[in-house]
Amino acid sequence: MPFTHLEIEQRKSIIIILLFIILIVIYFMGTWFAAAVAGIGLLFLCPQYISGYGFMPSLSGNLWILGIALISGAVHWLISTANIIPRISALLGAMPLDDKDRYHQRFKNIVEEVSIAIGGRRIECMVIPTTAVNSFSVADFHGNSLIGVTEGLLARLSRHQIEAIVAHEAGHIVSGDCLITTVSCSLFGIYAAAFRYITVSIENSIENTAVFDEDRERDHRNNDAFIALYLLFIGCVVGVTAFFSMIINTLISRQKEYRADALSVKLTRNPLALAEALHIVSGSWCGAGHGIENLGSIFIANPAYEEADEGEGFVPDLISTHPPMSKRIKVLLDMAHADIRTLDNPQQADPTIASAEQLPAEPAPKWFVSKENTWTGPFDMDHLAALPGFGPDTWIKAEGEDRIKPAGREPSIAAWFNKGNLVPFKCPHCELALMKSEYEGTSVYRCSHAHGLFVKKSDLMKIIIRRDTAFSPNILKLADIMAGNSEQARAMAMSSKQIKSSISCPQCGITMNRRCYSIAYPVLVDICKTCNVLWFDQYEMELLQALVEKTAPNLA
Amino acid sequence: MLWPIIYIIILPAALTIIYNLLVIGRQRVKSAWSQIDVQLKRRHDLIPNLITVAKGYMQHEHEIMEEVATARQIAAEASSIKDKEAAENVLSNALHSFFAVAENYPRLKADRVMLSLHEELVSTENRIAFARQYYNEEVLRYNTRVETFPSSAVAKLFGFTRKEFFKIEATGDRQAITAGF
Repeated sequence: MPFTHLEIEQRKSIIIILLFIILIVIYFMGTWFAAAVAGIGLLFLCPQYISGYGFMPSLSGNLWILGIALISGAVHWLISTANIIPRISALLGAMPLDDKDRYHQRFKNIVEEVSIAIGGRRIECMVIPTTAVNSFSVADFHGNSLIGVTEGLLARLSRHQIEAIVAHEAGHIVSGDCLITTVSCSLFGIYAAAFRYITVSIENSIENTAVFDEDRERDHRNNDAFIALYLLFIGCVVGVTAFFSMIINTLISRQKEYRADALSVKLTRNPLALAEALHIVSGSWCGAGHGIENLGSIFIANPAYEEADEGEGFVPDLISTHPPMSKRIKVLLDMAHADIRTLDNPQQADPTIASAEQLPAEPAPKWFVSKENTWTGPFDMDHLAALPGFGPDTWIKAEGEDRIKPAGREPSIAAWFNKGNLVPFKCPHCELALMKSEYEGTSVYRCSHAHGLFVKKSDLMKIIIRRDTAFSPNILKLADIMAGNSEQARAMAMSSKQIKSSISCPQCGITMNRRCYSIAYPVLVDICKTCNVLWFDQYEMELLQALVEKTAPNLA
Repeated sequence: MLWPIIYIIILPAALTIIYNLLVIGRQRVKSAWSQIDVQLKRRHDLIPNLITVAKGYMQHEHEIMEEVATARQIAAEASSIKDKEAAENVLSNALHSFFAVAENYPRLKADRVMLSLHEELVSTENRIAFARQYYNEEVLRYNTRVETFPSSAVAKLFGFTRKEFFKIEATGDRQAITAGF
């Protein structure tokens, strides 16, 4: 490592003292200004009480102001630096990893690998559920650190590329940059971000009241006054936050990104993978969540577009937290002795994570089942599972055999019982029990007879951005036709109101709504709004995926 | 007047600092080595599972599976750094040929347990490579300290000796397993 432990500690403490001093100065200036304004007010209103210097605070007044600034600065500091990591990750909407998801498992493995490379320091990991491609890292005073990535990044980058990105974030963590950005973000940026969030919600509520109070004139006038006051208040706060974020940005050097890139290369010895990853990130980095524009400095690429990011020279260096992406990529390509064209043909295409779906199914063994002393069947495993009252003590016999035994004694069926595959959901069409199954690396429920898919809304986004499954030619053709007639299909989707579906939700039993998935992707699906789940009939999921891949090849 | 000060204060202080630095270096090498050991153990624990899963699909490939099993046995029993180096290289080659053969069994490749085992193995290979990289960096730093003046004099005085590097033909096996699937 380029920094020894001692050097990191020294650097850390210097910068942190500096941050505290800046905080105190800001509070001092603020309080002084307020005192001066109050002094001017008093001078005009009741001049008989003011003697000597007029509105300028005296020496003892200045000391008072300093005291107030010190106390409020210390309180601000203590509140801001407690629980930094949970607060920032909550603000970003980051979620803990899902144990059953293959992509998440791979990401966790990669983080553990990289943490070994930096000497075994424990790093936590989280995922932001958005389609953008971005990553961030935060750290606190107690040596805890967290690396987070978006779902889009996990779906679109290969193993080597994710490794390079994680090593970049680990580079921030070991060099101490991460702590500094995190602390300055939590001192200033987090409030701006939270404030933006409140603003949006208040604006929404004003709009709502304005619509409903149309016929009541008096209230309306009150509203106008309220809005004017409110706008004034917003103006003040926006000005102050803009000032703060400028301070943060000048404090945070652009050089840290180059340094972390260099450290990533040192750890993984693979500059080309990082260059490729940055190339993909630069194509689709925006919008990693809402209200995070003021936290941009903890990300690998600024989530909010700023013109200064792509500029060079003194002023962009001063106000921008991220160096130009093209220059970062160029430096890495020089290290790899490659040129920009190699980025169009990635070096190591990753093997697909879930290739199981693409194989033709082997003829499964079938069994006859004893039901009220008559043998019925033959059934395959999925049908057996769906039979009412089927359990380990049901008598079965294999097709073409005469030996009778309880289902629990048959090894393949016993294994099925042990896996905990029995789920309480039933297919809305044929009433068979749904099977827990895997689709694009995440878990879904599948009906083996009607071939429908039951998906949680939060998992659907992962499925849509991942591209492991290959589609049959018919589906691709249909997607082609729909993409070709997009205007017509969109008009249809907009005009059609949602209709009551013929099926009921497997989870809550309420009748589902049948409507287009979205205006851009007019595939009809069944949605339950209460449980936030979707039911896809056969081919509907494939069609939706094929359509997304056709019309937005860069999105996912 | 000057010499006594040098003898009484500066020399012992310098000696203490250099001695402590050497001890810290030795401890770091030690802890880096234990990390490699943990990861090698992880690799040895995964291989029996791999063979169990593969047996169901590759009935006609007894030789290669036995080769992997014995290589694993020898590697697990090795104790000195030199022995481990040699045994792990044999094991890497055996795994390499195992995955080359497994390439011919598409059903094995599609097996769910195999898929997650494969991910674990790839991850373990990377962990070993990274642990080795970190260990070698620490050894390099420590050895430099042992051999450069003035710390070399202190090292000789208190019996600090050079540590060995740990070499595995890493690039080869890392790619072999990744490329197989």
